[in-house]
Amino acid sequence: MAPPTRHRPSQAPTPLRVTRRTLTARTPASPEPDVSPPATAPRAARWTALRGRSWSVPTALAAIAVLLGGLAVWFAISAQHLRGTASAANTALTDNATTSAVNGQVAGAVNTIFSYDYSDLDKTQRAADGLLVGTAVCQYDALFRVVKQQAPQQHLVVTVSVTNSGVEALTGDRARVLVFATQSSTSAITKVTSTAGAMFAVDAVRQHGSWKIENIDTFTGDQNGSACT
Amino acid sequence: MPETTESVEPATGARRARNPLTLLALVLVVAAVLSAGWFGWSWYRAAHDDALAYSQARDEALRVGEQAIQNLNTLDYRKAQQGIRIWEDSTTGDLHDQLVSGSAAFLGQIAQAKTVTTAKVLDGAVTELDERAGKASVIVAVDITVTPTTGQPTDKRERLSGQLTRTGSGWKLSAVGQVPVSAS
Repeated sequence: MAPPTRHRPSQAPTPLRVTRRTLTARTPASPEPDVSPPATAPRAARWTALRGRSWSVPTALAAIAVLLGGLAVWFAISAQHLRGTASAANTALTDNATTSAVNGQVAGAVNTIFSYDYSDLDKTQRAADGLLVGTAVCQYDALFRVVKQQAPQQHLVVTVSVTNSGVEALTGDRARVLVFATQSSTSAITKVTSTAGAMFAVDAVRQHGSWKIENIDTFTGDQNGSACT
Repeated sequence: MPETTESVEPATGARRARNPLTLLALVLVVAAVLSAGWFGWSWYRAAHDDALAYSQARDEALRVGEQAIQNLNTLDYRKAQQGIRIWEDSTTGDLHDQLVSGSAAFLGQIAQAKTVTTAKVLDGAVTELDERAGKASVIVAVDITVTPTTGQPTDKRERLSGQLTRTGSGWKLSAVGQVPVSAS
């Protein structure tokens, strides 16, 4: 092993040299079993102990799986808690484009269906046909029956204009809109114009890409609704 | 060396024998790790979702706005001081300052009028929300009942619009008013 040029063959080995040799010679045989067991033996013993019991490894793994599974469930519940709320489902204002579409179309529909001229009531009713669905059709019919009686007598021209509207809820193809409107009525006989404020909420549904009024809630309890549903 | 080989061999044999169970447990661990990772990620994303935070701010603004408007339309002459304190707590900015500076005069008026006013919110909507600026606008339909000590209570409906400002202690009403009946 050692370079032979360094030592003359005749020279007696120095004590150092001897020690080295003995060390290198002994290393694989004796010192290692003495030195290394303190490091490896406990680990090996632990493994042997673990292996000795037939259930330990699968059980330990199963325990880890259960813990991680519990963590997964907890994460899932937390995520669901955040996403599953009514807040999250309601995209009013978060979905800007749809919110303004609902606002605009509902306001337009309200202006159209509630504005009329005593001389051409059919025009309003025809326009309303395409803007109302479901319960609103019945509600509107009940309302317009009164208009048909009174408007011709008083020569009424009514203009309704939505001044404020806010989308309360927007979920998919359904929306609820709170509407404040100004109703200005002019009698062609007396030439007197009166204005009044109106407030109601509208349930709207999207059909073939356009929003239609499905229900008109005038906050009067179920009196109106029960007649029509 | 011979000793270690001996101790390993039976172990390997035993492991081979209960391999299906260990394998099953390993599969479970892997599945659990994957699902924990997946749901952890989904939870993290939900917690940092801007649209979700915006939705929550919107609903919180509406809740506070409706409550504040109801508070400002509620007053019992027998507990006027307490009622006005609630008004002050519900508001901020100019509106708050006005209420504070006008409270003495108002207490005098309400003591004379001897009325009990209650309000019920019929419906409300957030019309604008600037989450970053901490500003929101709401419209609220309320039903206000004024009950005098003698005589019949009167009921009226009001269309109100309010502005909310976010403060250190949540949303507060910073402006409120009736929506005018305009002939537009």
